[in-house]
Amino acid sequence: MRVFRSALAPLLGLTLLLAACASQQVPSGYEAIKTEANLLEVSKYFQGIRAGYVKARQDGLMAPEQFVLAVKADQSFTAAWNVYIEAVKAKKDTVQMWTTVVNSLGILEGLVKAWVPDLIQKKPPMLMGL
Amino acid sequence: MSLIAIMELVTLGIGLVKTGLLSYLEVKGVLAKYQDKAATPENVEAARQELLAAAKIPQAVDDPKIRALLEEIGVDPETLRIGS
Repeated sequence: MRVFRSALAPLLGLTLLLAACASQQVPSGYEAIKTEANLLEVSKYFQGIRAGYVKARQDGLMAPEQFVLAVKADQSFTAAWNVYIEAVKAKKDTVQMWTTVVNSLGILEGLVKAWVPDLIQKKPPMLMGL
Repeated sequence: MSLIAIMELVTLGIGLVKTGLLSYLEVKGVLAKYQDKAATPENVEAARQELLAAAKIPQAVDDPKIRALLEEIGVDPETLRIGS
């Protein structure tokens, strides 16, 4: 396990560095939209989860009922996420909306974690503090 | 370390780097055209709207792969749709 961790550390470091770079990719003068850049990163992270559980089902690693549960959780998250994005667009987002997004993402993560083992490593830094 | 463990490490590493790299490229791609544009309130707002439009996620039941997998197990994807 120690060998595993020591080999993984540089890769994890590189990933975090790239994620940090992504949030720094707003052009000079556009710093006010860093939050929106982070939201785009979160949506990419989520799409990785979706691709992960779809592949798990295709590979026969998820039972049909587990897959249906994952799709239901995915639908709940997507609905909450798109409502939140529209609210951010209109500058009418609330903490409660964000909480709903984070909670529904947590449910989906909990469901698919067993079939997508590297899920935690893929978690973007932005969500870690929540 | 066994060959399988090494292969798992490599696969995991590729996944990690790919995730970070995709995020990097996605944000960079959306904002590329603003690199040389002055940060006027109009341009900042336009860039903001583009980032948010790109951050929207289509419903799972609209994904052809997911629809096919659901139909394969006898579930009508439309019964899982949220909203109209």
